[in-house]
Amino acid sequence: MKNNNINFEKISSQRNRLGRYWYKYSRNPLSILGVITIFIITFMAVSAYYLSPYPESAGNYINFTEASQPPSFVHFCGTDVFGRDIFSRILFGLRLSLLMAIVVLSLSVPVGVFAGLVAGYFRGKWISLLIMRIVDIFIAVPTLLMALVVCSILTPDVFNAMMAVSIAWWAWYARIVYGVVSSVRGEFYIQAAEVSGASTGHILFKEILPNCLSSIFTKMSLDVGSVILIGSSLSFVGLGAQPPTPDLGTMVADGAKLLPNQWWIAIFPACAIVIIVLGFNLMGDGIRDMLGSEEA
Amino acid sequence: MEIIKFIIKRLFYSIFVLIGFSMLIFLFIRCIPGDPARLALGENAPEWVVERLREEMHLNDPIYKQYYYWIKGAMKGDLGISLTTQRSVMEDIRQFFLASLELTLYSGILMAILATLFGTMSGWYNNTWIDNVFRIIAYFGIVTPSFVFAIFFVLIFSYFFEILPTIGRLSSGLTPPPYITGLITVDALITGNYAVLIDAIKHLILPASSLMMGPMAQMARIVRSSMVDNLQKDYIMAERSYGIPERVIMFKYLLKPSFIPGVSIAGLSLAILIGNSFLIELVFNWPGLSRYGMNAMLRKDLNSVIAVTIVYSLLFIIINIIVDVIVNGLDPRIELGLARGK
Repeated sequence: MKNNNINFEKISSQRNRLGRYWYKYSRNPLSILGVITIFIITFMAVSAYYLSPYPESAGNYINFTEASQPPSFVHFCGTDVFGRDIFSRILFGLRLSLLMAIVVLSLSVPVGVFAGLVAGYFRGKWISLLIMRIVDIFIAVPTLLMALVVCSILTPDVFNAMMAVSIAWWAWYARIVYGVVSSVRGEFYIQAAEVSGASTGHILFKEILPNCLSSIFTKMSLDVGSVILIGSSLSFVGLGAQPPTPDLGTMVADGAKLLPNQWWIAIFPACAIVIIVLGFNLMGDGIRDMLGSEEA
Repeated sequence: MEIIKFIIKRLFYSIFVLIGFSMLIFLFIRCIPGDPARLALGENAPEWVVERLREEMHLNDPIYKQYYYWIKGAMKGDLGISLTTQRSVMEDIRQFFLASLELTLYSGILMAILATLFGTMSGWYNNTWIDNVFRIIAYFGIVTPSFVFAIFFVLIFSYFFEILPTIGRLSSGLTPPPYITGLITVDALITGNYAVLIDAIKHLILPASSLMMGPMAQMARIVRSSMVDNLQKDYIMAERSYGIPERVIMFKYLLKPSFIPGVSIAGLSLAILIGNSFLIELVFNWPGLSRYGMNAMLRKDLNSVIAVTIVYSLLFIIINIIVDVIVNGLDPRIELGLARGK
């Protein structure tokens, strides 16, 4: 009985906290707009196969009788030179953009956070010096340039592009976490954990990591948009997804050659990129205000 | 004196960063399957030709020896032969760098002016319709990739209004001015060739603006928010209560402290600008180092890729040092140190 009570209280207090967060978040109508946008985009991307009027357009499909048609009620966003429906391709392209953000963040954040934790905790030791000097090297090159270079060395395809962006990205997390860890390194509760014989793993992940979470989440929520931007830039120059895979950046690049007569081929995918990134940035700003951290 | 010491220390330190970076790229290349010599010569080249090139490029040696040969050459200013242009990479860089510098320079200046203007206007009139208009512009600046700006600008200004050219540095009918500084606008101004000057500026407008929209928006937002913060500080209220005219408060007391955060992210903004230039120079066919580097990347011409990246990293490092010195000049409370950033 007693146990049940405690659990109940714990759950209800957690609910209160969530409610408070949501209250803070929902103060800004733009943040709500961001969430709705993301929700719709995710829905469209996940059910692209069912929503798209011409799902066969996503592949290596050629239909010259329908080629290069301007937007109409039959093809909302027109068709490209192969007669593929642009709207359907945008729906499938959304998938790759979202996948890009998910894969890049789930590869680069753990690596960066771990490096930052270790470097911050062992501050002054050789391992910390080594890690932070490597971080400096990665930060000394503009992110997009770094991603381009790595991507050009690898064979161009979607997953290598994701790898390349992750390689260019992790160092920023390492630096942020390093900053937070160095500032809490001398606190009494960490000394207490040390003298009571807690393992290094326990101290790193149970004592120090929770302090970094709000900075990490803030940075992550703001980064989703930037990752999608960089991903689309890579595929724009041909270092990302290869044809016929539908990818927004590649579609813009293909359409750019046909300006101004067939403007719809480039303009609609370009608008799609802007809308996704806008949605994620609005949400990111909302999360930053909610978590109340000023950095990043 | 402190500043000179700081600059020397930072430059010295950045040499290690550059060496580390070049090692890293070397390691990457080695870990990736594929033969640079075969790639350079194509599928159909006979085996003995490929073998000879491999020997010339020291590809048969272990990685540390390859790196040793490369760094020995780099010290003497020899960065190898470009596999695409068949010329020395150093020569290529010399030829293409100034075009990129010209574009980046004007773009950076435009960025600073517009960010200041938008940021201060927005901050000064905060929560009015002027502020809202500027904030919406800034938001779209941040979320739109540079190449999308380029496409929209080309569509509007080149195809719809037909007032600005889309590719290159000069129209084909004009002869470029004699080589003095390498920057066409400056050379044209020195020689008094105004027709060329105007044409060159016209060619610069579209690429320069599409390059700077993103970083400009970011900077404007930061200037705005620091301005709004400062407006609520006690000293501004005190000045208002003394009856100091609003203009004086704005220009004499408010601008300087509000600029500091904007200036301190200038390094980051210029990094984004440099990154964007790789896409924009390709779109506008600008004969600069970024387009050269981009083409090298697409053809896996690794000597050129490494060289271009190192040139830009060096530029970026120098920019960061300059930014730190300026920030220190504006706000002596911020100490110069090896630790950069926020």
